[in-house]
Amino acid sequence: MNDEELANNPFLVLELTAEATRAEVERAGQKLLAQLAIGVSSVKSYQTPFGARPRDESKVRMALSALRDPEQRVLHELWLSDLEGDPQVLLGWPSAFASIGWRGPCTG
Amino acid sequence: MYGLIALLAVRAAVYAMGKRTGQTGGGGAPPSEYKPSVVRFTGLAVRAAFLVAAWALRRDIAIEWLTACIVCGLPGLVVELLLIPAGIPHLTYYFTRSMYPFAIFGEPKGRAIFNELRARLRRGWLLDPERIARFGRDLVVFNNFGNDRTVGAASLAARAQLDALSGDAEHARELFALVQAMDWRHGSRAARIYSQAWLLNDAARRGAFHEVVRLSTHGPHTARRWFMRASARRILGCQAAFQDSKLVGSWLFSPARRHTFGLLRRALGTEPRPVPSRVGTGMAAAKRLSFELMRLPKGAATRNEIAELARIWQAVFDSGELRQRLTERKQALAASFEPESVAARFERQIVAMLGELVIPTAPPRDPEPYPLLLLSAMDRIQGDWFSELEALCRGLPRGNANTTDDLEQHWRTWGRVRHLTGLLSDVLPERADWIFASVGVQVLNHGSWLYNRERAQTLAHDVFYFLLRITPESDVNRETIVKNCRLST
Amino acid sequence: MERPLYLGIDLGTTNSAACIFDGEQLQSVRTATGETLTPSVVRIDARGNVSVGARAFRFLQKDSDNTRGEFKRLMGSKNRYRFPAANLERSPEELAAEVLVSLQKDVEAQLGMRPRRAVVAVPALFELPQIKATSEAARLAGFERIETIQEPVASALASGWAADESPGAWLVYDLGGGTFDVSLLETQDGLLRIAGHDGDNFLGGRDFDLAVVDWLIARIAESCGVSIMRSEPSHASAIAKLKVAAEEAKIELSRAANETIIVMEALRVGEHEIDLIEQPLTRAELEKISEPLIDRSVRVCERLMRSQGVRQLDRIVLVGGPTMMPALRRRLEQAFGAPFGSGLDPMLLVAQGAALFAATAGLDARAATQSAPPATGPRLWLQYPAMTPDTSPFVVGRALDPTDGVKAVRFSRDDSEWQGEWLTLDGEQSFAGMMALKRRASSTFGVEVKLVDDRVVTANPAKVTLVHGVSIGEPPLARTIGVARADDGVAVYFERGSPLPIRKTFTHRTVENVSPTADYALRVPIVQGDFPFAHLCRLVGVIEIAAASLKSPLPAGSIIELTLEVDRGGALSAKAFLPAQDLVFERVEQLLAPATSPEKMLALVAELEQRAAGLRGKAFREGARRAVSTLADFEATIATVRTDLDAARGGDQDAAEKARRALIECDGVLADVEAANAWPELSARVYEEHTHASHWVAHYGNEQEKRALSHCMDLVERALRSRSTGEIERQLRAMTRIRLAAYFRDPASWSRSLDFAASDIQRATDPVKAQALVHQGRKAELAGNRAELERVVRQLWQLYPVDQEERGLSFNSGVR
Repeated sequence: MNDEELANNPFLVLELTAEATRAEVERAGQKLLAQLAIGVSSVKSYQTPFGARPRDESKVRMALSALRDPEQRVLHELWLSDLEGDPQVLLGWPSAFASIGWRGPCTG
Repeated sequence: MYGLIALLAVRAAVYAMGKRTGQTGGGGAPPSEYKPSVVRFTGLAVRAAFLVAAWALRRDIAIEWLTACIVCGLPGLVVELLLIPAGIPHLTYYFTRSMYPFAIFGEPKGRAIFNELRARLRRGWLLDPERIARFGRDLVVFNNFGNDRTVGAASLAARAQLDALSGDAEHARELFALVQAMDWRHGSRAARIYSQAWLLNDAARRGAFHEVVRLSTHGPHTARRWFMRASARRILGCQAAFQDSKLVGSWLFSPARRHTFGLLRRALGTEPRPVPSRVGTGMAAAKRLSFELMRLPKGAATRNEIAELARIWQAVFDSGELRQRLTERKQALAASFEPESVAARFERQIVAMLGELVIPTAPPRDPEPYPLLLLSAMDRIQGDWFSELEALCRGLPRGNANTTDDLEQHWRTWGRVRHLTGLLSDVLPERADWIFASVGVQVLNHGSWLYNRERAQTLAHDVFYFLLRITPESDVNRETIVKNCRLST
Repeated sequence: MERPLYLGIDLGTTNSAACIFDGEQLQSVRTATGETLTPSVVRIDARGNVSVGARAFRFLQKDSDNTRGEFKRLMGSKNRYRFPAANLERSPEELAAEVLVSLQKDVEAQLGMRPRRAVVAVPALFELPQIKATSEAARLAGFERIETIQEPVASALASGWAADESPGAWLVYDLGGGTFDVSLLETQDGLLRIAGHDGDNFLGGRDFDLAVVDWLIARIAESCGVSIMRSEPSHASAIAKLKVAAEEAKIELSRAANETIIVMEALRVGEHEIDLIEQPLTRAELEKISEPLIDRSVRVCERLMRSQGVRQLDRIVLVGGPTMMPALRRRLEQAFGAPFGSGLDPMLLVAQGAALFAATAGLDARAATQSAPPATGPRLWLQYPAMTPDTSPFVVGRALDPTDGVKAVRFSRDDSEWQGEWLTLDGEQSFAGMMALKRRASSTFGVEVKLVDDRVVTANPAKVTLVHGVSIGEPPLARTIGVARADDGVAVYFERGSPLPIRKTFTHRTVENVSPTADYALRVPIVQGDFPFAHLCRLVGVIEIAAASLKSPLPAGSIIELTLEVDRGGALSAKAFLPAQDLVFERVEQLLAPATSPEKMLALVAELEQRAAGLRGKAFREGARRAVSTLADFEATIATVRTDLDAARGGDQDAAEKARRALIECDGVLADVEAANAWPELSARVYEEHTHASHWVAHYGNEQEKRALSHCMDLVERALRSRSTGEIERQLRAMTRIRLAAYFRDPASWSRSLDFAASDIQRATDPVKAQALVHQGRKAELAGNRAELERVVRQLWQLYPVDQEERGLSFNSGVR
């Protein structure tokens, strides 16, 4: 269960709290699907405690299915918490290969 | 003139000695022409001869002949200090080929390609894929020879460089890791140091400083290694590495100071990490702490902190808070699932999370007893790595398997095996004893097959050398391993 | 035309139907003769004329060689039907396409336009090749685009539409001509969700007919002394006639009568000819014949309810012609005690549901070019749910042309009871707002637009229609899908019951070196099934990576990233990515159902029975009740498999298919029982090994070994708790090593080994040499030379055969 899987929590994808009712879930899901189909760009990413993540149609559909099943929904609710703070990501050191005398194409 | 005659005489002598040594190698030794140790000895002898000649005749001969003798006596220095920094293509290659001729030294072509690539990379000239592909084909000399005395650390390092240039970082890492851990008798120090430097800097470039810390526990002892380790630990916020003087001191001794100054400045500027808050008990506090640890950079959390987290989660599971909350939600949603099974799934997810947190961390110097959840997480990690290792070792050819001439594949498989064993011994050192217990015999048989049938002596020696370090004293096979190691040196 | 038109088609095994939904009302499509059902029968006469439906049905008995029905069961297999009169061969897809064309013509006659898009219902347990065949049939019939929907979902949707809005758990019991599907629905506020489904691909009305046929055969044998056998090809026509008669009798008994007489004249059985058969059949008798089949269906329902944890049902919805049998209704009422859904026609429910689903998907039957005539006004692109259970859904849209100067949009309901606010456009020319719908009806909204100069203009489209009704969550995946591994394991990607659509990526490693010059292909087999062993699962697709397409040699242990995706209709797509060489492979060879000969299957049956006998004896000895009952079920299934194989030898393809599926299930059942046994065996072995090892280590082991052994035991305890077999086996091997290390420090152990080897000389590969070594060993023993003894014993060991590790078939998988 690493941060990638946590960032895919359906409540985060649909931008809902853990108290959302079934109707609210469906409505939010349908609205997001419609906006994605239209191509509204503000909807293409969402915030997580680990940074922004991209959002597309299949992700929204999977989130909807997960929240419709009560067993899965309860499990996702357990993980959800309202947390503040930004994630810390360590930047790489760009001149690393220069220090070994490697001026050619660097690996990815 | 004299040089030429001397060269031919030495070659004849080596040939004769090698043949004799090969036949008295004992049952099971391959009919090799040149034993590696003999080759090494003659190489050193020739160099020494040139230097002695230079010293003895320093007053008698012209200055050009004197420099020629010195150059022939110390070609390595010339390459490192002159040719590679100059970076002129093709020059390094032909110089190395002429200075390390076939009969007297091992791996002439590999060494030449290694040096040539280093020279080209220094300036970035002539590095397009078509020219590089030619080197790859030349290195395929692995496959065409009966004995592989042309393969050593430099050839492998060259192969790894080619992989890195073509974008295949994973395989490049495995080969470089093999090179840096090679026995000094089979690998030149230049190649080993270069591999270590590449690995450390590749990890630093990606920002994976926990990898830097892990890699800096292996390989030859160099100043660069100490500096990178200290700065990586400092960047990760490790509490113990907080003495500025030590950091600057190690920087002063490390090479390429102009380039590493940026890293030093960054390390010096890192603030110490605050201790994670441990307010309250219960599931909310546990989750808060979990997220805090997950959002730290990889390797920043220590194992003791993760153990503390595991203890808190264990208390949460034991207290029944989870089951109670699940039953409440089940009623609220009017659902029909089993709270027990959902609780079990959640527990499995927590264990997986703990495992993910533990892998980048360094094992503590004095381990305390770990809580049960953390032990389960480590069991899981160990199980995954061991099952892959065992499957790989089961597939290693041994006994009467057919030989191929594809030494490169053998080296790569061996690189993968060493990668896994390296992971196991670095991350879970207290369980590393199991490596020999589970795959030791298969690897030993593979090594024997490599030596006898496939005639890959350097690889076989690497296998036995590795086994020697992990076999416990009391094992029945230890004598065999020692004998084999000596045989294949 | 402003009203939308949604077409749903039910392509059944015996009968097909179609239904139209216009947003308010459901309307069945009638044939030229006024019937709502079209029999799924196709006839090709000598001149090549094709007749479909009731006209062809009449020839089913008379001209059975050229008239084919029930081809739905063989969709997706390689079988082709021969029509000798016209000298043609047709595949099941082509026959299905003929039926679809006939339905299209009926729609055209009724509504004046030829439909181009529709939703076709397929059984829930249809496998991927079969779904593809259905799409192919629609394409051949001239449909521009179709979507498939699972039959239980369709019937659930239709029953939800007709019902009131009480929440609860419903069981949809669909007994068709050839298949049986049961699904569990949860409803809440008009939102239907399929909690799970189950079924039997080979249980249907036809099986009831066959049961009656078997009973008839027995009666005829009694009365006339002529035995008709299903395994004889020459009796096939007689059996076909018996089938028709049985079906008619069954229908009659279900409707009105208490007793009926089956009359058949001039029945030709091989060389004999029977003049007249008059066999009375009472309703009670029919009930007795059908009882085992009904019980089988009830067991499937109970299994489904158990797996979902549902104890009490609120309603049962019956779908399919055979459910009209009074005995069946009685039995279901007795078993579950829930009322039946009223006002629903079991034969048409699936088609109605398919039409409703077309509405939720917005799949209008008319082609794109046939829609409403172009209107004037600024063009908007609108997205909204055509049918939703939400009374205030969102409408999202965008102005397509910024130069039109649109500032805001407003929706007003046609009945003037609701008018929305002005929705202003944002920087991207998009807007979103909520609408208010009329309950359980369709609402039409006018669309108006305000321009920058504050003029109000009607937009293009001028009107939109939304229906407030039910919606259904996507049905879950029917079977677990995964990738077969080289060690005969399965890497599970999607569990059974996962919601669709779904996509997952995992990394695997290759197990062998592949060089581009080799004539070899790396196979990644995709399998479907719930078994832990790959050879028991069904192969549904393979990604073949030809060695020639590699850029450079691929070493063993290279990473390969596999992405599997299943879309809403259940179609599988896969992609393999090799990061080392930056290559992507997307072509999945879809495999058709492989054919197996009845002889091979009989051999397999014998092997399975032998295994079962061993397991049964063990289960009885240990008193394992669940194993015993599972094996009793297995016995019953094997008996049906044998009868099916008999019929298969007589030329019945369908029975062969059924037997093959049943055999795989049986193999899986036995594997389950063996696995369940393996666990206690494994833990017993581990404890035993620990005892031995502690004994030897206590006497001859050193400190390190003692510590290692206690560490082993700790790990074993933890592994037993988490039930990980691999870990336990690893510790078992480690303990054996420790034990052996300590054992061989005992000086007497080498002598014991020598004795053991000497006593087992005939097993050696070279007995002569072994004998000589034994002599040598004895001499060393007498001389007290331990080192020599050890050397001799080691050499002896090399002469004894070692158990090779056998690996099961895993479709030659090349990945781990």
